[in-house]
Amino acid sequence: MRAAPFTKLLIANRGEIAVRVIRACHEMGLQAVAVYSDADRDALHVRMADEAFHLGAAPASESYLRIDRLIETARRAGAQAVHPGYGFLAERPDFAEACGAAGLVFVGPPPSAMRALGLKTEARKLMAAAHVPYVPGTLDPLPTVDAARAAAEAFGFPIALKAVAGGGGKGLRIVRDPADLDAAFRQATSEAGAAFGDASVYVEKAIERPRHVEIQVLADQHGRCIYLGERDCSLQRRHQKVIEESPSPALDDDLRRRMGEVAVQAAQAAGYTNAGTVEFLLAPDQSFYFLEVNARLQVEHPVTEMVTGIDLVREQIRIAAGEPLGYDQSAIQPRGHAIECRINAEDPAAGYLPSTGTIVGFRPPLGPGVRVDSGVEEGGQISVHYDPMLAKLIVWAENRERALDRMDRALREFLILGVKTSIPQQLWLINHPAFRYGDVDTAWLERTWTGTENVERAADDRALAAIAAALHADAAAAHVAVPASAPAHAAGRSSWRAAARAGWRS
Amino acid sequence: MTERAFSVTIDGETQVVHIRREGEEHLVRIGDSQERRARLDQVRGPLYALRLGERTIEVMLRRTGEETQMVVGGAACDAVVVDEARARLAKLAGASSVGTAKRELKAPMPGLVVKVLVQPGEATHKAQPLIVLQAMKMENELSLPHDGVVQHVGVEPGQTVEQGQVLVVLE
Repeated sequence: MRAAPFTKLLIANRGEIAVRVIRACHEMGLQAVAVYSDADRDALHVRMADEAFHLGAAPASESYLRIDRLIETARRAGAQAVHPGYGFLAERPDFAEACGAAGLVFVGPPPSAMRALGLKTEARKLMAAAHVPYVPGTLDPLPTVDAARAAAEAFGFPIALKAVAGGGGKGLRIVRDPADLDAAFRQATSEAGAAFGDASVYVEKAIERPRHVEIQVLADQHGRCIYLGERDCSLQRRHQKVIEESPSPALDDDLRRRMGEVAVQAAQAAGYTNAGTVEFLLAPDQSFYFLEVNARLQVEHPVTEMVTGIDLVREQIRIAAGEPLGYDQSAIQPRGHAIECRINAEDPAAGYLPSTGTIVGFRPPLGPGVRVDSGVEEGGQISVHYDPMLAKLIVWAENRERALDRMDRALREFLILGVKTSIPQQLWLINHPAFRYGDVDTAWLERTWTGTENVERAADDRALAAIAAALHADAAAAHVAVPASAPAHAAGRSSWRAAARAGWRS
Repeated sequence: MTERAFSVTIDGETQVVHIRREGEEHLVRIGDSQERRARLDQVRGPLYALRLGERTIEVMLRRTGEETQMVVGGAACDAVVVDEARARLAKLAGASSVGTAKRELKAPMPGLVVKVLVQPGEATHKAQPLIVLQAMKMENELSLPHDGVVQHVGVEPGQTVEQGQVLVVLE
């Protein structure tokens, strides 16, 4: 029972993930259809696709979130399948249903599984019934602050207030002091309402110093479900992941197997198919708790691809086409170590302020074990309309230490001019002893980072920057043309490392 | 032959760079350091190779007026470059000096003012959140890098603001 194979796929997304899916399409001999807003007319994903269709104005609500226009566009383009990417409509069951009603194959889980998992309280009930360990707390939404207070007192502070429809840390507040509960309840409900159109929240007991460990699963439409190892995403700020890696430095083979099996149990309980991620909190005593299922491809999926050698987007498309997985759990033998840095247009030294503008210069790193998934190039615009991620830098090496060294090298090679980026912070993180030893939890970055960490290093850079700026100004002032043809194959060695050692001022 | 001096301000710190040209060579001195041979070659677009003696450093830069946007060693910074000779002339002409401390909190991007955390007359310390601005789906706490007293608040909660709009002025 093979579903009718499709030949043309519409990608209901933008940026790096649209590019990622287009690449998979082209490798599989499928036609890729892009969609774009006014802000993305000339974007990379538009140029890479075989066809591109205009959706509407720049705000996502008038373009990438318009289910009616997407379905209409897929019809017009003659696409037989739709890949939602992540974000936007990826976890909206009504979108998956609308695709189904229009005769389009939705590359993702069935709407019923998305519904069962989309509301966190419903997902928690499902896991309770399937004997999957979940974080202690309420199984129902709490309509009033008084109900929240009663639940918080029953489970004991600190607690987490979480949006029932939540994700990405929106509508989430950790409350340590009962006196802060009223304000936190107000913030969480208003943020949840604004972000998800559903203001309801529930209470979970806060697990102290947890790691975030998630299991990638793949489930075909023929009842086979396997896990593809874990990703450790403990470096976060405001519940946004900053660096992800696989394998986790906190897992041994036994714990990995147990978490993997529970993740498969969780996916099967929800009738899940396609690629999905089961997120857990891992406590210091190695007990782990179900957090949620991300019913889509994850931003950080490349680290799993690097260690397992499995192309997750290709597998998503194959599974959606009704093909069987064709391999079982024993075929999954992760090798080496992979790390991903999310390069964001923001300034971690100034409260992570988003940075908008034109990408004037963009020179991504290359070389052994380096992968850059990006949706921007020189000339690209970083606008306020979409999330500030510029690129994902992923490295692979035979073990964690070498992967960290490789990431350090690649970050130093990565030059982006025009907006502030998270690269300085990631360089600091990659070289921080606590991260090097694998001794961090999900709140570590926020506890530790003050924003002034790069000052010492910057002192030497400042001198170099001042000299370059002065030479440039001098050349312009003297009307002496800076030769454009001068060879600059001096790039090979890490300039900054040399700078740090030599010390211009010494 | 000729020597020029530029004062370069990065992150609020000013350094004076002396450049002496001898034929094709540039001899550069920063602060009290030794003079070194230096040159800056454009590779392509905004990518340059900075050479200091035998050292090479990749730099990306773009200059608009006195402001130079640049990336060195993984970190972006903005440099304000002032030709010392011109600055002296400007001073003699009574122009206001360069680099007056920023006392205005401007919106770094368009957004929605969610909260105003200070009132006129209130003393504030550096890094204290003054305004909460919602943009890019996140609430951002905006602050200034120095102490002061609030002179003026230009916005109220619920207001939509443009990039660069003045939100709070400190005395």
